[in-house]
Amino acid sequence: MTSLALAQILLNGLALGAAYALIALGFVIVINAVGAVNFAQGELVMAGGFAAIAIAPLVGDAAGLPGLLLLPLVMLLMGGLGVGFAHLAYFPLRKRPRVAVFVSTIAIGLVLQHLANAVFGAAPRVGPPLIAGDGPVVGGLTLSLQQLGVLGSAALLVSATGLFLGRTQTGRRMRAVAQDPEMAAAIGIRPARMITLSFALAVALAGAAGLLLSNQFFVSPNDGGLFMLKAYIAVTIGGWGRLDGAVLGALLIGLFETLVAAFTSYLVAEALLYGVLLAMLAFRPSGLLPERARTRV
Amino acid sequence: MSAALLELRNVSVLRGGGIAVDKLDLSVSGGEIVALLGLNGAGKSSLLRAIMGLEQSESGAGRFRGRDLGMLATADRARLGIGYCPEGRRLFPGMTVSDTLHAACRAPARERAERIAEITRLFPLLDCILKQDCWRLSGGQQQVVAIARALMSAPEILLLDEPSLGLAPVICQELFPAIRRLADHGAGVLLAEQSLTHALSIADRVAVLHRGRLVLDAPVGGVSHDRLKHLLLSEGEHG
Repeated sequence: MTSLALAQILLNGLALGAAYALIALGFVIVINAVGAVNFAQGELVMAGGFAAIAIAPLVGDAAGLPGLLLLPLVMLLMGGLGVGFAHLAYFPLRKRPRVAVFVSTIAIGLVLQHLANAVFGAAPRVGPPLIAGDGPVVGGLTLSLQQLGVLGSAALLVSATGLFLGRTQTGRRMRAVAQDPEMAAAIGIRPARMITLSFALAVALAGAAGLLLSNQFFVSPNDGGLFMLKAYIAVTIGGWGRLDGAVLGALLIGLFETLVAAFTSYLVAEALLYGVLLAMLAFRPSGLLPERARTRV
Repeated sequence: MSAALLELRNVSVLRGGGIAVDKLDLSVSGGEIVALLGLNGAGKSSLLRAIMGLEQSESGAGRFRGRDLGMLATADRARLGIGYCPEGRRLFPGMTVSDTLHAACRAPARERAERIAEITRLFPLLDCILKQDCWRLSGGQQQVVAIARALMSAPEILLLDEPSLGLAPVICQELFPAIRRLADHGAGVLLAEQSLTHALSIADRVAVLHRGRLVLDAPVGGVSHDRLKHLLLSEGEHG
């Protein structure tokens, strides 16, 4: 394998990992906000892909605008879905045992899957490209504008999420609620509002990932489970409850899958990835960046 | 001293299947420190939690500035001007001190910064720990941050639950005069304490809880130290 081919593989891996990072970020945000796993996160990625396919003819293709403009629209739409999701899957069950929330997210994920099947059909669909055409040639390597767009958009969204949670007043309040909702309320923060916002952000990020992945990897109603597993693995590898750990884990998964698939096959890469997960659980269950004492952010 | 900011009438609180606070009447005025004394399990923490809406009052009424607290959620009580510093501090461990203080204030950024500067003048040690994560702080530093967090919204009344618990005497010597200064600036303080010495060093009034019942409510000067000790320690007298 030439160094040029290797560079291309690494770029592909980074782009894939960056999209996974958005899924994993949303996954961790919900875990931290409500202490429960959102098992519908994968279906919400799939829904984002189909939302992009549905909206594209209205704004992108018809108006001759680049697909990149779809990203904020899809995120806005999915953010709204996240608000509804919180009020369906979480709030009615928030005083019940956590398992009730797990089951409700699974149920909503299945509803989304069947809905997508009914509306779009079972066959895989191609999502709109972010930016069509070939990009610049660097050192003999032709960079695809689509891949650069995916990488750039995901990097921008990961950074923006980090800045939002770390530097803004709303972000601080979301973190306070994630760490101690009762005490957060005692200093004047409304926990329900912050939890709703956390769901909206998590689902918007899932939707963005759905759009970014839909062109290269297509989208079909049954994709959700796979995305969900990737988020789960990323969080396990990176460190449970940590946003930076989730991003690191997702990038490593993307690189691992792409590199191993290039030398073997995608199926082997998948199988080995689960092997890595098992090894991680056996030898370093706290992940690469272990959660400090109750440091949810 | 002004008219009562906080008035509790016939308040009862249930906790863990038993009565934690039983038909209690108490008031706190602006500029006044009321020391709420009692042994472990006397109902001090339950009363403070009930005032914040964290514990359900079984009966009775609480009013703050004449407004009925019964229908207000915890966050609304805090926004109305009740500051709360719980037992055990309960800081947000993964957040820095600075972020914690900012999160507790609804004012624009400039006012928040001014407020932090103002509180830092009251508790100078805050200045060198603003960038630190809360989980790294010592017990004394955590206590100061917990009080500072409660002060960020400029509350008219401050509920302090066992601020001396686990603190070195030298820290207490700085902490309690600072609480007195807060009251001197007009805030009402309801101070739940087990340490008689610390509480009486700054309080204007003393209230003693015994198994949830208020057995004394008097000016500090109107009751002797021995009498207070007797009330706190005697078992059968109030049954």
